[in-house]
Amino acid sequence: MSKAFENIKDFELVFKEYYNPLINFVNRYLSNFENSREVVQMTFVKVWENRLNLHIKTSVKSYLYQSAKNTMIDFIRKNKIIFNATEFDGSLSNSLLDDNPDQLDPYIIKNAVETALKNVKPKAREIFSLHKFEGLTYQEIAEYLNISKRSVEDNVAKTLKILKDQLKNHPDLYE
Amino acid sequence: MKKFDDILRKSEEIKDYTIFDVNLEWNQFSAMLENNLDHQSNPISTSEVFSIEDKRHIIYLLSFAAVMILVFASLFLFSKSESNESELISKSDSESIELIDGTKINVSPNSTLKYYTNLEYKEQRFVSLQGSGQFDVSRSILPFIVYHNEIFVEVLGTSFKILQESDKIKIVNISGTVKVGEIKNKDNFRILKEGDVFHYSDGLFINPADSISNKSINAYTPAPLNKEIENSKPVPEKNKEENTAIALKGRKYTLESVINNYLIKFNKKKIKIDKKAKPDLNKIITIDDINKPYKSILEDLKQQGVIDFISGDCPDCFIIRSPEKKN
Repeated sequence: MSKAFENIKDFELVFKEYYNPLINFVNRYLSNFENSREVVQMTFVKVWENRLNLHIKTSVKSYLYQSAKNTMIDFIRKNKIIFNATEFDGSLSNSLLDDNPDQLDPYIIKNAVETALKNVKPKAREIFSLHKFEGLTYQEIAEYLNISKRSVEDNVAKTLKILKDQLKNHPDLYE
Repeated sequence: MKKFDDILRKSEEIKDYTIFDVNLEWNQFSAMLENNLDHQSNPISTSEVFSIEDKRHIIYLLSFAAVMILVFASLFLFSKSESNESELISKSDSESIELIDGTKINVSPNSTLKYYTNLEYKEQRFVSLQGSGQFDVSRSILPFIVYHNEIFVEVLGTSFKILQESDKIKIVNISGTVKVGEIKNKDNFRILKEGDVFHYSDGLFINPADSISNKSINAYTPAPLNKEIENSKPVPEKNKEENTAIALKGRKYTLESVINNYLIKFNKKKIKIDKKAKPDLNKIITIDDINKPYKSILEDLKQQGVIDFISGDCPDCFIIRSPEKKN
């Protein structure tokens, strides 16, 4: 049995950590958040039901990724009418055959960053996003928001510090 | 720092990322687990206890209701069947009874008759007889069917007798037309016209009138019209001995029964009948073991002169032909 599922508290931590990344990963194929949510919930139910017989040889991430993928494939098979063949392009259906659990990584990272950014003030978050994600320079942001360049620099630096603090202990980000 | 920038870059790759409130989702999920999956490892709140108790209560009530429905249904059906059927047992003397539809039945001594007392919603009139009896069936749109050991007798309105003799059942049709058949093989039946007498034994319907004339036993040929059934001539002792001799060698069948019910039925791809073949399907033949290989049965039939056969196109395939004419 995996240590991650020894008791309900450990299971809760795993649930909260992987719930959103898994939903968004599954939604890449299903394009429906309600269905994706159902698939991920079914995945966690199966994990919980079978927790006493589980022998996870790789990692919790790998196991959850594989389990969610299998549950999604079952879901697609059972709902053939909804998911007709035209809804899947070649690259998507081919990527289902890829068993590399690292496919989940971008979703884990995104989740970690988005969650960490929730602890940043809205103004600072906006400045940080404009700089890091939209690619604007400090000067451009200063002119756009009508604030000083120095203020932009300070906000970006504070946000980076918060993010680093939040993410430094994340097991899936720094190996 | 490079690693952190890499994380941010990867983070940027994912568009339309939706975040669900994991605390809310977990609360819902854990509530579901508590209710459905794991009562032992998770504490259950007071409201949930009441909910489960309510559910249990409903399940008990539903179970009780289902049991009561079953009990009442069984009682209803039992009382219905009781009221729809009765039994007459005659001991030393014969007994007569008139059924609700006017059918008159004379039950011979040491015989038992089970009969209907209600025809409501019925599509047929069933009686069963052990022993012997005479029936004068009132005409009705409902067929009248008598079950007697291995055979059934079906009529609409007629008079007939069923007589249990030592090793055979004798059916005497007094008037009208009756159909007599085997219960286990309803394709094996005979139509009896007025005055016909048939014996049934070991799956064979035999007309004793044919035995008297010492012709080959032909179950399909109706007996000559004879209203004095009771005064018909007894089977001569000589014929009785001949019949016994045949029975000792094996069981008797009509050729039609052997070909259709055994050879063709179980070997459709192996055995064909030549279109020009005209074997006498009414011929009575004897087979010591009907379950032996079909080629052995074909050889038996050929030896008894009722068919001939040649090899077919495939291995172990045969074509049945008319028997060779003897000069």
